[in-house]
Amino acid sequence: MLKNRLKELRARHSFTQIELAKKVGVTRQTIGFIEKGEFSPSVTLALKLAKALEVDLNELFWLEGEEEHER
Amino acid sequence: MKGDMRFTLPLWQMGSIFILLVLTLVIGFSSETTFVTSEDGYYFEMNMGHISGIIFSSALLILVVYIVMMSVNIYRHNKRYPTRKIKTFTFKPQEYIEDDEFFDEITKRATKKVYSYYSFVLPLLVGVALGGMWHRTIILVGILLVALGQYWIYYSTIRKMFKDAGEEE
Repeated sequence: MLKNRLKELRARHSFTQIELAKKVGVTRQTIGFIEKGEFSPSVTLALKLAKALEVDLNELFWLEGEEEHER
Repeated sequence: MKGDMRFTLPLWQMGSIFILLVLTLVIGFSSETTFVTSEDGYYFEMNMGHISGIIFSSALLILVVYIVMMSVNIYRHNKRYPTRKIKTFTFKPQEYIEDDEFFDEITKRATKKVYSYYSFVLPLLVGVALGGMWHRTIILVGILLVALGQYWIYYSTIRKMFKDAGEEE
């Protein structure tokens, strides 16, 4: 399962879900569902999110169980 | 997604199918239909009893009112969401929601379930239709019930996904 720090990093940038959604060209619901781990975004969307939040992709998304080894 | 009629469209479709079901039953079992070809042209007559006539007229009136209500709601939706319009005359089912990749995904999951449902229920319906000397009304009712099932599966799948994630449509 894909884990993420989207909510934390979004808050750090003081973006609302709507603002972030607009930046990356998706709906607010999509951001909400990614934050809850209910939906795994495509590579394209994941890269757009990482760019909008000014982090590397692997700082934003990682596979469950890999956090202890990789991060 | 409150107010977005694309989510509740399957329920509206189910409502109209239900009224058609009542009309089908009344016409099929309580009426006598005669087809006449004369020099003046071709016409058909439908005779039914008093109670059946009242039920038929009421159902027909309800259907007309229902279609008007649905049209008004579609008009309101289109005014509120100009980029997510519901088109009345199109081959594409308007309950598909493809705003972005997440909605593509939930539409895909729901349509997959409907496809699985049809791959099971259509051969069953054909088998039932071929297997007995059914009144044609029974077959029509069967088709309408299958359509009701389709919309229910689609609606409940999308609703469940939103509920599981803590968001009501």
